[in-house]
Amino acid sequence: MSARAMTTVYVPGDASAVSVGADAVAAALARECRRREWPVRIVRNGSRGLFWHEPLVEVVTASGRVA
Amino acid sequence: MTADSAAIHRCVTAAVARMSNEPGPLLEILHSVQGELGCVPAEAVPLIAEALNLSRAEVHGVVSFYHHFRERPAGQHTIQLCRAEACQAMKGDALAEFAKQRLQIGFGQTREDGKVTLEAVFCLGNCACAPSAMIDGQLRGRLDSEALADCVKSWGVPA
Repeated sequence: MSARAMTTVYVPGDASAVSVGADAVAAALARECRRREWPVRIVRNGSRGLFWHEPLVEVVTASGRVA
Repeated sequence: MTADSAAIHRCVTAAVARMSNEPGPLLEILHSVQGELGCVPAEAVPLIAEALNLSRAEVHGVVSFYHHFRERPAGQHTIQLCRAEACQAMKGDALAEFAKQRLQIGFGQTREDGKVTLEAVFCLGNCACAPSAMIDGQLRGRLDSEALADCVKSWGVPA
């Protein structure tokens, strides 16, 4: 298996995001990445303020953060 | 569970000793007492008043002003449903009706089996994800009757 580069994923950890399931999303991400042996760094940041889209996950890519 | 006099005395004395030197210690003491005993029993009021050199009326006034403080312990589980404008605009009224029907109690009441207390609160600051509720201290957004029903069912409340 080829080695994957570490991916950084942002999952908001503020009250509003958590109120609509951000903790479960972060936990599922961590669990599935571990199962697939994908190196991932999950950062619990503040919300972007787009609360109607929460839980809003951003992935760091070569062209910037993509939601 | 109702605390006995000795427990109330012990709890108030400890809270006062910890906080009486802080500026404006009354709210802190009330929070501490409720955190430990699950409520602020009427018996605690004169004890706190005396310790802080306040009148009973002043302490009672604060306890009864803030709906957060209760004189009797809540049920095993607490649902604090937001009844403010944004949540009403997002079908909060229907959710409130559902909660009352499902639990067979009104706002401010505890079920006879002691399982659930239902309370109305006014804005949890989560308007963008309305309707909101605080369920056992945990903020929940975009709550609907299905999610509420699941929650109540998991507590073993008979339908």
